[in-house]
Amino acid sequence: MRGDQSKPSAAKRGIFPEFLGGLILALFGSLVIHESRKLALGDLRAPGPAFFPFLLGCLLTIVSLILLVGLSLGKVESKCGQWKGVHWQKVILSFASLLVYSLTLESIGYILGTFLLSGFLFFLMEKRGILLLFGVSVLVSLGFYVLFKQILFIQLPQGIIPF
Amino acid sequence: MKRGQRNKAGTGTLIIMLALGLFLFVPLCQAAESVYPNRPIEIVVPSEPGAFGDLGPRILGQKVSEILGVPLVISNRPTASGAAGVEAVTRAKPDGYTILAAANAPVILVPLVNPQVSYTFRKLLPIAVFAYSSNVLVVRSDSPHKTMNDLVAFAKKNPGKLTYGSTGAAHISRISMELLKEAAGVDIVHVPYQGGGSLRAAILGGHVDLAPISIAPVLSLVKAGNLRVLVSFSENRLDELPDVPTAKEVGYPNSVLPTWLGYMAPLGTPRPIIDKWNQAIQKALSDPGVKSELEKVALTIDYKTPEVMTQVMEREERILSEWVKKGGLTRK
Amino acid sequence: MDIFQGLIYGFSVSLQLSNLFACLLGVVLGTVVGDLPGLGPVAAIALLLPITLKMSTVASIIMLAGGFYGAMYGGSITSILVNIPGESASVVTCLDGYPMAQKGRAGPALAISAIGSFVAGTLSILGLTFLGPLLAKFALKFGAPEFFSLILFGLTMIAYLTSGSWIKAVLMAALGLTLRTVGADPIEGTPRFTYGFTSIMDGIEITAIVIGLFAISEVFFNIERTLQNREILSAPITGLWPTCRDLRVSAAPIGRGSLIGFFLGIIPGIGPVVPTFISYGVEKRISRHPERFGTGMIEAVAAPEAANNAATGGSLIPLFSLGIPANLVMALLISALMLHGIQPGPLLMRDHPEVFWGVITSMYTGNVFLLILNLPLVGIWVKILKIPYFLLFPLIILLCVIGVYSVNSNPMDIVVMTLFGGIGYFMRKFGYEAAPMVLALVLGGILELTFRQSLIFFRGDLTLFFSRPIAAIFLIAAFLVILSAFLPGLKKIRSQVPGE
Repeated sequence: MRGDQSKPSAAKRGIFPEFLGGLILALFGSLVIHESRKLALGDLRAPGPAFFPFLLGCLLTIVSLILLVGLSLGKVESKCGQWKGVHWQKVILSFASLLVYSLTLESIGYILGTFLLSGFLFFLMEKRGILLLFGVSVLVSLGFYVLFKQILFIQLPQGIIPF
Repeated sequence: MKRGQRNKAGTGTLIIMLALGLFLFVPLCQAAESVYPNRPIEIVVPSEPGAFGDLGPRILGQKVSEILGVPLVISNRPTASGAAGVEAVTRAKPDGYTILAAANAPVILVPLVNPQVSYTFRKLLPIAVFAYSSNVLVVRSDSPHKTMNDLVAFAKKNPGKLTYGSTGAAHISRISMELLKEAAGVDIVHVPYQGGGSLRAAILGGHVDLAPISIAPVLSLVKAGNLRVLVSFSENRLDELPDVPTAKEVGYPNSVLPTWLGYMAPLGTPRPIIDKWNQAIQKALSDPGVKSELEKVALTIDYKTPEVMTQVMEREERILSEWVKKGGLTRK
Repeated sequence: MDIFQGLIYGFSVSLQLSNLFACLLGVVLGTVVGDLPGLGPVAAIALLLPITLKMSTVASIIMLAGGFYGAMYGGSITSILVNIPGESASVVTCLDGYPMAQKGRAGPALAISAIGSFVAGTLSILGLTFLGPLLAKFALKFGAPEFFSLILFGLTMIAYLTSGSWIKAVLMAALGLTLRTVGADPIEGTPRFTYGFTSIMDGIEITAIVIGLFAISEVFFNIERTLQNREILSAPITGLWPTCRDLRVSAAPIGRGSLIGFFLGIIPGIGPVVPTFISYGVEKRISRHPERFGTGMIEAVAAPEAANNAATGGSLIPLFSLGIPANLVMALLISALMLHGIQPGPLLMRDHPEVFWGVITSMYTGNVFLLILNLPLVGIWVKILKIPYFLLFPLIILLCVIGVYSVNSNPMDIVVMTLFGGIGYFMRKFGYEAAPMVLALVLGGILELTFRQSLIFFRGDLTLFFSRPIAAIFLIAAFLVILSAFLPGLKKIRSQVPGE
């Protein structure tokens, strides 16, 4: 579009993540095709388990290739987000902590896990008043437990704390 | 507020919150030793809430909970046709506080058809069977097939023309149908549906000719005249349908496979706990209120001791595995 | 008894104090539960179910139905305020509801949501009362081929969901469909792409994916933006009530949404998701300013919300006339009825008129409660946005965790939610939208199942799809949608290439 011509370098910077996205999808599509080969394809009378995934894998690969071609021809607009000036490190940390939480939840139990997670997240967001955060974390983890498990009878994972 | 003041307020608040926290904490801690049971017991139900295998344990559970004196907390784990729930109980502590609300499908059938499932019914300790429900074969009331014999005759003359729907690939009602097909020597095309609801819609809409299905959800449709029952896959004629012959009577005794409900515990659970459960179950079953509640959801009371339960499970495993091996439900 | 006698009788039952109270309780609890991300009508009803065991039959069903309505509305609240859908059907509300909130128009968005739901709910109950049995017969005519065509048509709505490149929308949809193939094959039961994980044998839990893609990624997105202890709303809140213009503009969309929701909701197996998406698509197509969709058009909130609620009323038809559940929530209602010894089916109206008419009329009252309760509460909901960031975000994450876990008690779901939170974050960074993926996810399962069922029926002959009138209509409609949406795109491409 018109904007591109006045800022070619901005367009170039924006394009790379787009390329990456398209490439990832193309690779994923190929992966799907490959994996679905292991299952029975079947025929039109009785399509097998691999029927749909195979078609979808082809669709994914082909369309992402079209996307990549379109990008290099410059016809597809780039709507990427920014990377500068945003605290993406915080996001990575939040993501990692949440992942660890979800993987260990069954072993260490809801109360302990939630306490640790909420403490970490609060800390990540607001660095002062550590004692306050500690207290809030305790309150939140116990409070949610009581509210959801005891009062509303929603299931929460058990753990080493025996309740 | 200035920084210093804010911190002071923060400490004060902190103390209050810790106190509150402890206050919540203490009642949650209960002494673990002493008489069983002394805290809530988790009942793992390997089906969705409101599904067939969930209603039975809920109804009986209310009474058993009164008898045992502690709440029974239901935890629904329907994933993988219930395999997730069963697996969870095989891995639980054998202290009597995690009990499985078992049914034959997740405990016996699923391991046979799903290679990913690691357990068999032997990885659990049987407590008791408490009820069962029968499956029936229905057709639309305007169907030309009036009896089982009509159906079989037609099917033999027209192989591959008739269709039957199932509530899912690994369901007991479907197995009954397949066993019947084999015994009768007919070719009827199988169309899988997901769940009783879609199957009922399909049979009512005339999209499939036959439907093997649990009696409970179709009883009112039969009484209203929308559906006709050709045969019931049960040992004896059903009370609600005295005119309907059993599969045994029309010559297909092997296809009789009721869905039963029971309880099981992790291996290693002490015998006294199992006995206590048995006493509680028997007492609950003798309550007339419980009996009528169970009958309302088409469950017939049928208590079986742990030893008899084991025999039943072994028999069913034999029948089912033979059939799976013959290539009925091929899984890799 | 005829319809008017029935209605009068029904009101005499439902307006009894105890039943009114049950209705109120159901609606309130439903709204609160539906409010929480990940917890939708299913959770609300599952929660209410044990409580209803101790109540009379009529009161139980009234309360559960109220819970259903409440939860559907509750899901919209978070969609509008924090771009977090309460459950899959609320995703569409996020598309324009959240931009409205960002412009300070959260109040009107919430209000029109309540109003639209009320009107639609009332209309659908009228439809249920007067057209019920007739429509039930029509709904039964839907077999596998008809379902397939309808779902395919619904899927083409992705053309209207994006404000960006359609190639990316197709990619997202394809990705959604592919993800749906993970798990047991619907026909044969063979495990596909499960790599030994029992926890995904039934497929990856959709709720976990949706919450991850929308809620968690939204939180991540906001985390990276936090510079100070700010609040979410940067724009001042300009009034809590819809303007006259808002109401005028929303009237027709609400009507259309109600119709679409009602008729599609009747068909067993179609949940509220399909009508909501189709309603959005229709509004965008009809609108004179389609390019403004996604920036906060009130009709884009009104219509899907109406469709949502109308589908609820519609889904009661197969339940009351034939005892067939149109979706999971209805199945729960069936169990509730059975627990009270009532067999849902054609005889329900005859044998238990108090249940039938009582419940129907209680929905009128339920809708009224919803309106009365929620309009004043709009102000309070909006205040939630004033909670400081550092407190709000972890809380949202924790609530999502609970919501997602409550579905299957499967800790793997939380892992899925987290992973898709990350994926959603990167998707937004790369300019891909999540709505088409959600639609594809929800529809993918039925799409494949009905396609293969159809082929079993047709013995492999694809042309037979066109031998069935209803199926043929939807297939042609789908084709037309694809043409009309993508042709302009192709023209654009062709005009640009020479310019390079």
